[in-house]
Amino acid sequence: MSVEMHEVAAGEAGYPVLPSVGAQLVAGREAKALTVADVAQTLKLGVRQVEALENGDWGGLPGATFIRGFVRNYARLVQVDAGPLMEQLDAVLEPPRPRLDLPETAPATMPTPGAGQGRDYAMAMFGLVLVVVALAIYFLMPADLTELRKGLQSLVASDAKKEAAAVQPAVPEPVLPPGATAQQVLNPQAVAPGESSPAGLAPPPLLQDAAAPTAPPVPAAGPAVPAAAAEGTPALRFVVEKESWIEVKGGDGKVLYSQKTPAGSEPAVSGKGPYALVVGNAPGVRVILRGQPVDLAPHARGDVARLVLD
Amino acid sequence: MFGFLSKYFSNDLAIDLGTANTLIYVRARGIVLDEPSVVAIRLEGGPNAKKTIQAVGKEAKDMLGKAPGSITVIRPMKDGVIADFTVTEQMLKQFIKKVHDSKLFSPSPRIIICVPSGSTQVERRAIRESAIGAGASQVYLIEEPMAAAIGAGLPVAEATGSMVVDIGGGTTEVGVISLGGMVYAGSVRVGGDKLDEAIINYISRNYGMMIGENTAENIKKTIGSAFPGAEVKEMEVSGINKAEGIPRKFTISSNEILEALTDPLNQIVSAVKSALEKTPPELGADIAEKGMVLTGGGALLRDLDRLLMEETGLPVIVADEPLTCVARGSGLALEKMDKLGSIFASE
Repeated sequence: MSVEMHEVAAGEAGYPVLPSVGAQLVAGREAKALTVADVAQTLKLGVRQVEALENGDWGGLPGATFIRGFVRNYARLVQVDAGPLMEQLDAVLEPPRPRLDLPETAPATMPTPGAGQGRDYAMAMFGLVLVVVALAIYFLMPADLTELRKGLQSLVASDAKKEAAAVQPAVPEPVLPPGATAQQVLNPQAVAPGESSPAGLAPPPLLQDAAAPTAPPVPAAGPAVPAAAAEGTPALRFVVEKESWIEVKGGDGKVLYSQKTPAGSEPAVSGKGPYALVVGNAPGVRVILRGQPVDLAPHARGDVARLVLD
Repeated sequence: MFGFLSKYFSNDLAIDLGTANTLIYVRARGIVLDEPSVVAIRLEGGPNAKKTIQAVGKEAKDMLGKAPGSITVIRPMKDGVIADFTVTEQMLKQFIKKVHDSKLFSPSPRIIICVPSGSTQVERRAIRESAIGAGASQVYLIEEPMAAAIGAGLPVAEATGSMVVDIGGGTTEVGVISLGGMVYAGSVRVGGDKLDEAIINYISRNYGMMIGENTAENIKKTIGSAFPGAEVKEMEVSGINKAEGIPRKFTISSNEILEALTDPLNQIVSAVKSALEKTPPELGADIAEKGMVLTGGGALLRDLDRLLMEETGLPVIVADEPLTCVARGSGLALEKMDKLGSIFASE
């Protein structure tokens, strides 16, 4: 159809009107006295395809490349010059140009062995980095971890001190007796034997006893003195190996002993039980109740032990 | 020193490295080189003894069979693959230099290069290494039937079977293509060279005359035919009479050449029939409707399409400009190489 339209346009423009490609092929075939079936048989085409070529029905044929090939073969068979026919076809058909309209993007990429290896490689690299970090920590940290442990202990101890300091303001400061030094008060054993009570007592003297001959009892310790006197021998004794804060409350809720105790001292407390104990820096303090040692470890949280003893 | 920069100043190339001819397509410029794959090497003696390249391409081909002892004319490609690695590399280097514009940087282009579908892994690696040795920064391989089908304008990307028969100098490639991939690819090492050889042997056997390769090729092009036609052509040929040792002239007819070519042509027909047998039925139906397309220099042999038509009973057409189909197809692949992966071949 489009061929006929092309011819009309050419005729109107004043150019000589060429017969269509199909018409020239038909003319050639008739000149050779061939039928459509003969042509189809020789060119191995279907009769429908040969008729489509003769009628210019290009839509029924496979495409420009094949149409040109078929027309060239047909023209050679009927001995018509194929050159002008090709030129006419160029005007009618879209010239056969190589096309490569493949989909340009893949919607998804299938996993490939190479990709899998890449993932394994990434995992291996991650593992290697972990190993390097572990080695760095091992070599850069101090070899002896006891230093670290000590640091941590001191930190916890300072926490315990803060805790105790928070409690301390509620307890009145013990007043030293006139003429007695703090050392004498806190560590009666350090005091000269002549100054102490009858001397050479096997158990260490009570704190209150040491203060009693020279000074009235301190207000806080005051109530403990009669109790201690009533009890006779101290029920509770502390052996302080490291400086510690110790607080003892009696059964009636009164504070029997509450203060920072230096290392080396062995204060004893008498009073009405049960005793509520708060011992700071518990690993450095041993508690002896009526001659029996008491293990603070089960009651210690951090370095501060809180327990009640009967 | 600035080698890494040179690729930015080099145009990408598609090369149809054929047994007979080498064609080079440059991106955005089209086919810029079409030369015979022939190299002439001069052997220099004396104190500075060395081998130098005397000529490459057409100039070298003209020397074929006429060179003195100091010049060796070599066709480095044989049966579609590299026969002489070093000479192929030098030939490619010369060709790339010819098509390269910039004189400042040595060329370092990305190259698409065609390989026969039946080539082995070793042969493909040799072609790749040769191109890299010639200065390529990267090399991609494309199988010849695919390039030929693209260049012939077949609808390779559609879900329809397209059959292409590319008859080159060294090999005949048969491919069935659908949806951008090769459904079947077959290759026989029979091509234009084997046809020339058959003519030489026929004349030697029947006329007792020796002729050269160029003469045989000329006979093939002038009166060669693959199917008996109504018209018989004759040609006067010169050769050396083997018995007398004297140059003589004789006349040979197209029917005799047809007889001479029977054996290699039968191998081509067998390859085509084998491909049709192995084609899936749905694609076979498409091929029965459209037929097969001949490309390559062998397609220009007179009435080869008629021979295949008669032997297969299918329509056979010869592509427009069959000699350049592979180069044009690989050129189109070059234009879209960054977006297309499926059409390239692996090693």
